[in-house]
Amino acid sequence: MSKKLTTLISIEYQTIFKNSGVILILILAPFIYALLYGSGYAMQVVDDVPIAVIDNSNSSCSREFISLLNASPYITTAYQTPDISNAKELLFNRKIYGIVYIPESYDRALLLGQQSCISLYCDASYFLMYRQVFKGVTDVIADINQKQAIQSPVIYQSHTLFNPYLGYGSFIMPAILLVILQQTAIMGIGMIGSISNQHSLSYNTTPIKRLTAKVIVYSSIYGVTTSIIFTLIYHIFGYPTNGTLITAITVIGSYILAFIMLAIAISTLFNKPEQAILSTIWTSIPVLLVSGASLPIEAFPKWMYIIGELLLPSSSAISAYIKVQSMGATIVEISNEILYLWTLTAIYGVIALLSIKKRMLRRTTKS
Amino acid sequence: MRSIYRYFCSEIRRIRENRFYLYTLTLFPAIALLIFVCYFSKSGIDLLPIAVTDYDNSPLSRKVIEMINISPSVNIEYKTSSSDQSLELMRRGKIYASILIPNNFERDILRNNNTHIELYNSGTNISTNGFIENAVQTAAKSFGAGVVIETLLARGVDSSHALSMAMPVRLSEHLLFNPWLNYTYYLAPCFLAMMIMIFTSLATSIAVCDREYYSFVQIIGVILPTNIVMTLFATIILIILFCWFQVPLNGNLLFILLATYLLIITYQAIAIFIAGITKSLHLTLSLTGGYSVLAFTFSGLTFPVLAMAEPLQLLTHLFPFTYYINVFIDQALRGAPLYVSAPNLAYMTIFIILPLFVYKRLCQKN
Repeated sequence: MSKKLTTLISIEYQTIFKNSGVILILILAPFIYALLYGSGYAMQVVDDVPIAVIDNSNSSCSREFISLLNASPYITTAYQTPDISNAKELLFNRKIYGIVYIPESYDRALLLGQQSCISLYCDASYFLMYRQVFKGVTDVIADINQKQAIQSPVIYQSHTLFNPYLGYGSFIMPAILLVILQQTAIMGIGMIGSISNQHSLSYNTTPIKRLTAKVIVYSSIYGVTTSIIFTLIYHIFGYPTNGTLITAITVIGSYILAFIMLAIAISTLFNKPEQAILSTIWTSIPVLLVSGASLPIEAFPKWMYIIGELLLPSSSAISAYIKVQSMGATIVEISNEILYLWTLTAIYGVIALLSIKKRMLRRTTKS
Repeated sequence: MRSIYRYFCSEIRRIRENRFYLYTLTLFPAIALLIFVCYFSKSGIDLLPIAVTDYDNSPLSRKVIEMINISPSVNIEYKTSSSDQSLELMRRGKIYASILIPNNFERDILRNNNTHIELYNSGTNISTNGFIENAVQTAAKSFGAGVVIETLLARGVDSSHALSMAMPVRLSEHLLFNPWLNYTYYLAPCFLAMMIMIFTSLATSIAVCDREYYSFVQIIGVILPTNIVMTLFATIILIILFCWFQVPLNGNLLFILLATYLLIITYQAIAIFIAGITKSLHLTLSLTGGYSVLAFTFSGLTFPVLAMAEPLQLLTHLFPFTYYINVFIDQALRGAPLYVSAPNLAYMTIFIILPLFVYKRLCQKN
C-alpha cells in the first residue's frame, strides 16, 4: 500500500467520524432500523386472534364445537354474543376479527345424519388476521368431520419446508435488512461525497486511488455492520440461517461491493449533504417492493422487477440471500445473482471512477 | 394575514432557488406516484408456478393433478421425477411449492387403503404460501370427499345422504369488507399515504430549518407552500385510488378527506417539533425521514398490533399514521359508523400542538 493511499484512507475515515450526521446514517442507522423493525415483527406469528361466537343451537354439540375453537392456537372466542348486531359492533371496534354463527339446527342435523352448516364471517381487511381466523375455524371443522364422517382414504398433508412456523419476521426481515444497508449507504456516502473534501484534493492523487480508498473505507464499515447484523441481530430475532457461512459471506460481500459502487457513483451528483437524504429516503419502499420479496413477482408488472434487477444490487442480493439462508441453496444455485452483483459492481465502478475524475477535473479548473 | 402572504411569497422564492427543495415538492412526489401507480396497475396475481412429482402416474393421480391445476391461483409448470429435483427447482426460485403423489395411489384408493397427497410449500414468502395452501387444500379435500361419495353411491346410498356422510359439517364462509381479498385496496392507500407523509416531513424540515424566527406568523408562512402542494398531491392520490383503482368507498368521504388533511398538518407539526429540538437540517431530515419510514411497520396494517409485544403496542400510538390508516380502512373498506373513526381523528389533532413546546426555542437566536 503506497503512502498516499493510506493517507487518503485516513482522511476518508476522518471525514466520516467528524460529521455527526454521517455517523448517524452510515453507522448507527442500520442498527437502529434493524432493532426497531425487528422488534415490531418479533413475535413472528399471530396467535389467539379474538373472535365472537353466536350460538343459536345452545346444545352439547355446539358447546363442544366452541371448546374446540378455544383449543385452537390460532383463535380464541373472546365473546359470545346473542345476535349479529352486537358482534358487528365488536368487529367495528377491532375487538374481534371474525364471527362464527352456529345455527339452531346444528345438533339436530348432526344427530339425524344430515349435513349441518357453520357460518364464518371474516374481517378480510387485515389479511394476517383473516388467515388465522380462517385456518382456526377450518381446522376445527375438519377435526369434527374426521370424527363423524366416513373416512376418505385420501389424506391431505401439507408441509412448510423453510419457514415452518410461517414467521412474519423470518419472511420479511432479511429483505428489509438488505434494503436498509443499501439505502443508508447511498445516503451516507452521498453526504460524504457532497462535503467538499479539501484535504484529499490538496494531495495530488489519481481518481483510481481515490476510489480505492473510498471502497476500502466503506467496505470496512459495512463489513463490521453486516457481520453484526447477520449474526447477532439474526440470532436475537431467530431468523433462518440454513446456508453455509461461506455462501452467505459470498452473497453479502458481493452485495457490499455492488451497493458501495452504486453509492459512490450517485454521490457525485450531490453538492450538499441534505440532497442525498432528500433523494433517497422515499425510494426505500419502492426498492423493497420491486425486489419481489413482499408481494411476489407474480403480483406486479414484470418489467418493474426487471428494471429493479438491472439497476439495483438489492434485488439480486435479496433473492440470493433468501435462497441461501432460508432454503440452504448452494453457490451454484445462486450463481446468476452473484454474476449480476459482480456485473453491477463493474458497471457502477466504472461510472464512479469517471464521475470522480470529472469532479476532480472540474475542481482543478475552478481553482 | 398580509404578513403571512409576505412570508409565503419569500418561501416560494426560496423554493425556486433551492433545486432539491423544489424536487421534494414536485419531481420526487411525481416519480413516486408513477412508481406506485405502475406497481398496482396489475389487476390480480398471476398463477404461481409449482411442480408435481407423480410416482403413481395413474388415471386417478392425473385426475388430482388436473383438479389442482384448474384451481385459480396455481399452475403446475414442472413435472419432476423425484422430490430432490423439486427441491432444487425451489432453491433456484423456479417454483414456490411442490406436490407429491405416492406410489400405488390409485390401487390404495380402490382397495380403500390410506394414501396421501402431500404439499411441500417453501414458506419463504407468506403471501404465496397462503394462496398455494388454499388452492391445493381445496382441490385435494374435494377430491378426497369425491372418493368417499363415489364409494357410498356405489353401495347404493342416495346422493344427499352420501354428501352429509362424507362431510357432516360444512363451512359457509363470508368475507367482510374486502370480499375479493384484493391487497391493492389496502396496500395502495397505505403506501401512497406514506409518500404524502414522507414528502411533507422532508419539505417542512427544509422550510423551517436553518433560519431565525421572529413570529408565529412567519412559521405559518414558510410551511404554507408545502401544505398547499401536499394537499394537491393528496387530492390527486385520492382521485387515483377511488376512481382508477376502484378502492371501495363504503363510508364517509368527508372523514377520509379530513384525516388526509390532518395527516399533512400533523407531519408538518412533527417536523417543526424535531427541527426546534435539533436546530440542524441534516439531523431533522434524518429523524423525520426515519420516523416516517418506520410508521408503516407500527401501523399494524400487515403485521397486526395485537401480535406485537406490549411496549411496542404503546409505540404504535406515537405515529399519527396509525390513526390515519384506521380511519381510511374504517371509512373506505369497512363502512364503519362515524363514532368509531372520530376518536382516531381526535388523536391525530393532539400532534398538532407539538410545535408549541419548541416555539420559544425556535424563536431564540442560534
